[in-house]
Amino acid sequence: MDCTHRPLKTDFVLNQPRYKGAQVLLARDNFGCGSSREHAPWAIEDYGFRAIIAPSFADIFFGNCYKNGVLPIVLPAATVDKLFAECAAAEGYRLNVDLEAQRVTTPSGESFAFDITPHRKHCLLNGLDEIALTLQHADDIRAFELRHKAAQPWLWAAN
Amino acid sequence: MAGKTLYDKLWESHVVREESDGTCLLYIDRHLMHEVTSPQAFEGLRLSGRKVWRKNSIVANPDHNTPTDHWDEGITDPISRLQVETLDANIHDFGALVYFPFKHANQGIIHVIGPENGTTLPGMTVVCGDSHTSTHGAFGALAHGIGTSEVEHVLATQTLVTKRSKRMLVKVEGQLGAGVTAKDVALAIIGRIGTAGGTGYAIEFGGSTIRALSIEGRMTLCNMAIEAGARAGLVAPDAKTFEYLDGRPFAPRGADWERAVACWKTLQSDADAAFDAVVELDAASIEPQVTWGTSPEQVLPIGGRVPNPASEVDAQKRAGIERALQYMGLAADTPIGEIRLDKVFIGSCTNSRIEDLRAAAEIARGKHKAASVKLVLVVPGSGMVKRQAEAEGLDKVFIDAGFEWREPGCSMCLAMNADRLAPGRALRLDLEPQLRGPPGRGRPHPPGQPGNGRRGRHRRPLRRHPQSTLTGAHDETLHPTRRPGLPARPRQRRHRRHHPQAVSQVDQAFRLRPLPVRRMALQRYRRARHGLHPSSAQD
Repeated sequence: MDCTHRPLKTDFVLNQPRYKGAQVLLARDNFGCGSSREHAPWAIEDYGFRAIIAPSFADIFFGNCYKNGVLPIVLPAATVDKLFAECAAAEGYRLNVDLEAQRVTTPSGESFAFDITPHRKHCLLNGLDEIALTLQHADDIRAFELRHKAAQPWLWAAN
Repeated sequence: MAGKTLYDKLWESHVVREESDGTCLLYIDRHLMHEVTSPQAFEGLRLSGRKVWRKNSIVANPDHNTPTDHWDEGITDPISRLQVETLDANIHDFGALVYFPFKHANQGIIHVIGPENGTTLPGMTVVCGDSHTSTHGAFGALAHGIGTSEVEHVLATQTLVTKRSKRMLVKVEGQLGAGVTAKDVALAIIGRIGTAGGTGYAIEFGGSTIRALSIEGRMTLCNMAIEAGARAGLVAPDAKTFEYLDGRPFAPRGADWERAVACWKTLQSDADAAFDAVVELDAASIEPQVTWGTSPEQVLPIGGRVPNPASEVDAQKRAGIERALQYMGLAADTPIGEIRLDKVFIGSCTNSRIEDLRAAAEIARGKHKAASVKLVLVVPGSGMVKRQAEAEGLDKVFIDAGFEWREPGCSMCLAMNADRLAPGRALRLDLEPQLRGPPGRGRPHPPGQPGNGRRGRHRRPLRRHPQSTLTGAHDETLHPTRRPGLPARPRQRRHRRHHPQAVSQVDQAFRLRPLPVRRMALQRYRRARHGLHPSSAQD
């Protein structure tokens, strides 16, 4: 489906000129709720967003973001409120997201730390393919399969 | 030392390796697949020249895009058809334990056909690129939805990279009132804890009410664990579970069966197991539930009234109620029982099994739909359910009542096929609600309400159909010639521009990979799609 010929909805916030080229999406509670579809992070990534900041995320969506190179950042609700207010007040508002240092910094220099697992950080920073990483442990998987098959052989029965 | 929960036992028996930060490689026994979330995953495998690790773990079937009537005309929508044909081609190329193509006698909703064929067993890890995979937790299997990247990861490695969830026990005690079903229990739980209440948890459902539910009722309950925000729902297997599974095509047999049952009996939370959260509900307090809005947490007992935003103090919730009222075309304070219905849909992976259809038929028997109700759609969950319903004469009951009796599939639940709702139509959905949006003004509603006297009634119908032609995916009889289009793509290394310095034009510190590999696979897929159906390239 090619939607490039559809007229833009001018009343939609992301179509306002001031947000053109935005790379950080500010969002509210339980963002990404309701689906395991990766089309959700694909759409966000397609727009050009590289990071999403919200007080909380839906579980599956949160994982899917990492797998598609989008960084979901959890900050306290009060902090997110503050960012919303600052962003609304100043056109051209820019946040600096430093994944290496795990910090979000506002134009005034105020800075907020966020959590991320070392593994996810490593993969994002290096653009690593999770499958290739896992296949480094192929022998472990084969060894597990042998044990598992001995314990529950019916799981291997093919009708 | 405290005992272990059922979740702990399932988890620990599938850990291949654990990193120091708790990230685990979890082994996957069963991989369910449908046509919507698998094409990009197979495409990724092709692009990287990878193989499927264990094809006999795969159970696949198109369901989201298949039409529910006029099967003789095939799939007329080109985008739907492409997705279904792509699954045909992928299973043909990569293999599977079970594949029911479109129009196969046993085809149906993946979460219905898995259990009814005995491909979901206690103690398994089960995944599917579909949030309602939690359904299979009804058997004491650790089952959850995954994204397309994870589908590809499981295909290539038979494992998931994941972390242990917290454990929640939802305990329901006592006897359910007349007309109160598993769906009402699920909605009452969501009404209590909210759609995010289960986030980060695997929920085990326990207590006398849950033990008294049939296996199909437990599937309905676990199915909706995702609507409570949890990735997985669980019910410990018991004698009912074993009786349900005994004799199903892919259930163990003979000595294997005895050994399996002995193993499955250990799949219970220990008496002294510690949960991170416990929620208790009294079954007698649960009334039939109706969701009036656009989220399953906007749920009220049948005797309630549509809420008034003016009485909500939380500004965010108030705005949510206002939006939902506007979307649904409802006035505040309207009694739930007075909401006019335009269409009724009975089906979906929550409520399309034989017990659901029996309950619905019991209400419809000898009656006729009101003239103001434009359509009542009954969509059985699978070919097996459909045949059983017809053998019991339920189809006649529905047709006599002015309902439409359709072919199996997901149908209006997500409206990827032709079963859609025009704007402004109120729909009673006897199913689980998709959160917000399609197919229209959904008003999920318990099945068999009022007066479902059928609960617990057990028949032994859906077993070993002689015509069951379960087969490996390489059986050509199941796989008509591969369609033209989707040409075999050249094998090539997956291209990856990942160098951190190449990324940041705006913020040097913000270094993420510029074009994730998924996108490239997706773009190739889209190109292939456009090439195949030029007419659909323009919206």
